[in-house]
Amino acid sequence: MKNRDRRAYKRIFICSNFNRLINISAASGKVFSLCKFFLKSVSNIYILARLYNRTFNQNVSINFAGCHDGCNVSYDSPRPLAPDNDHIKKVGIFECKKYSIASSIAVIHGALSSAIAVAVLYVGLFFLKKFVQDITFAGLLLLIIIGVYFVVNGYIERTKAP
Amino acid sequence: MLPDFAIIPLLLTGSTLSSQQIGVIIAVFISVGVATLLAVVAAASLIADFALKKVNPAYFDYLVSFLLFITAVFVYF
Repeated sequence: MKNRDRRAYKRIFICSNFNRLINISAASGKVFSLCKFFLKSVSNIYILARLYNRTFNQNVSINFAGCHDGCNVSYDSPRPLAPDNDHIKKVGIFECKKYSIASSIAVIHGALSSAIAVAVLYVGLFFLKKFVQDITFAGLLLLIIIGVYFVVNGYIERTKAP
Repeated sequence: MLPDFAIIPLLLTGSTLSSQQIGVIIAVFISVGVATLLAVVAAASLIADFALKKVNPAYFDYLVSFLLFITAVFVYF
């Protein structure tokens, strides 16, 4: 590898990953809300399944802690209960879900970005070989346009916030 | 889920590199993304007063735009 190529490789390597690191950290606020949305959907399905199970397959047993003899009251008729959050916490499945959703989002996001970049690179190399320099400038321009978009978006969000 | 267009000029600048080197860049690009996001999510779960939760989302936008400008300048020169 030539010295020039090695320098270019090093520069791109550092720059792409630095950008990745900071972008992801900065965008985490939005990703959190996305994760929460997915988690909510998953937890809703789980709660519905539990309610279904309790309603149709089991009789409900309620333990009154205040009774001296710890009396149990059983209902013969099916009755839906509110979700048992303590039980859900004990399951621990949501921790795994949270991390798996976060990593899936990052993988999909990274793969999609890379696929688009590789497609543009191949188009630049094979079809528009003479214009690679122009495409690079267009890419830089695109970066600046996205930056301006973020500034405008941030300003709109700030003005909307109470 | 919007793709990150910041990688396009970076890969275009490296058009002289081999496909293997481009592959390494993409693999590290994705793994750094996963590692960072997992670290942020873990920190938010474990630390009750995680600073990122309290920051106004508009400031994240400003930070991202600033970093995009810096990246553009860095790639150009």
